[in-house]
Amino acid sequence: MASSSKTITVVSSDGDEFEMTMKAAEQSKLITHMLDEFGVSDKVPLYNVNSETMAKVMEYCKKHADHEAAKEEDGGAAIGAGGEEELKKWDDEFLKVENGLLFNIILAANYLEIKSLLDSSCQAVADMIKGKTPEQIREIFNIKNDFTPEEEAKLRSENEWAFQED
Amino acid sequence: MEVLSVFGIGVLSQPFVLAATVTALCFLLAFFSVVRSFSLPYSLKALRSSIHSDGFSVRKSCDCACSCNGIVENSDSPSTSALPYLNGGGAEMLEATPSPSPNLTPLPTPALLTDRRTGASMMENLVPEITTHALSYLDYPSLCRLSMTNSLMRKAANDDNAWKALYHKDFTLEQDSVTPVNGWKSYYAATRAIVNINAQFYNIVRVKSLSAMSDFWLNADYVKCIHASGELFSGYNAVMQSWQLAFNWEQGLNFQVRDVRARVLTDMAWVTMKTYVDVDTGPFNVTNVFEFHNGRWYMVHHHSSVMDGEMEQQIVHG
Repeated sequence: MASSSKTITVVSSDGDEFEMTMKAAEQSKLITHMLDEFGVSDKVPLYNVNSETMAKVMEYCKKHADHEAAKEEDGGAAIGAGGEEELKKWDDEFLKVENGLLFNIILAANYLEIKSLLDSSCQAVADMIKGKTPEQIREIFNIKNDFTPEEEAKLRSENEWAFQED
Repeated sequence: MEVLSVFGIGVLSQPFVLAATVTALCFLLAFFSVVRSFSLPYSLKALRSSIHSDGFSVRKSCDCACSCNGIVENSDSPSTSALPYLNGGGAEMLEATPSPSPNLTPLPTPALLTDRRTGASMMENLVPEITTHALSYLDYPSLCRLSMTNSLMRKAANDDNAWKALYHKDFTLEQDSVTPVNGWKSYYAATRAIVNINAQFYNIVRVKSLSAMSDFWLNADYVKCIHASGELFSGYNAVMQSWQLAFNWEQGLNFQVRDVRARVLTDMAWVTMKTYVDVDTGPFNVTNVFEFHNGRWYMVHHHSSVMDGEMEQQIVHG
């Protein structure tokens, strides 16, 4: 237990340094590969992630690493059935951020190869889109409408089949 | 030269002065060119480092230019370096950023600027494989509505692979090697329509509406209906009579329809399914065939047979 409290340092694109435990670092496949190749002593440069996003990703990795450790500890007893649900709730709250940051998190999760974060964040974006009209979707994601009224009408009739039920 | 020799002593200093001036000029020129050559690599390096990090190159070049001026100016340089990283015409969207969200004051920090920039074209900023992954979480109404937001989103949301994946998720893993003529989105739409029509058929049977059933079938002499009893009825009138008998004779029919598999072609479709009625009756294997006429689907064939293994039970119950 004590030996696994080794920490590594990652550097964001803004030059800020973040410390994370080995267990947390293992959440990211990319960091794990880089450590295997370059060793623990060096600072890991992550120039594709800015500091704000990095901080959030660190938080996620730490939480999930702690969760895994707790699971291993009591052979799953400490976590119990409610544990997974609690983690899911934590994830949902964690992803309630401003859209720009959320998308940066998706990009970072893809780059760092943290599958669970990528899945959760993509699901969060999908949930924002579900059940909304095109106009509402535009508003949420700041998408500029570049269709002429004729094109819009044509699109509406093309996609009519999807509006019919529920 | 001759002129100079006339002036005697004054002449001696003149060429010297001339030579000195020229040398000094040469030195100055050399000095300036050296200084220039040092500053050039520096700006080149800055540009290189801005292109270096993929995906976030937009931000890097933002940092340089935005400190001097407004946002509009940035649209030139980032658009060229960012093009490889954005889906298609992402650069166009970048220029559009100044207009929306007037709440944000002229942004000092690059991070916030980034967010606003990505905010305008967030979906487009996702590299293709993430877009596909993100889209895979949407259901078909959301995907359609997303495609109606703007032209870039239409391209992304109408992606053939996304609809193929959705088809396999919602309907069946079969037909993986099929290449629909009009793409997977229209194939998905056609399949959705046929599955709904098929469900409609069972609703008509449930409510035992002969008028609805007579509207549902194609009025032609080649339509056929084979009920679970094994009797074959051929031609529209015979088929309608058979349904009238079935509605009069059978008790409340509450069908459970499962494993619906549809194959849809331009103007013909066939659907197989399993129907479960109750413990005593069924289950049945059913095949329905539809034809497309005058803008709508008509049933042209229905075949119901008892599932294998249940034969003995059927005989016992008579």
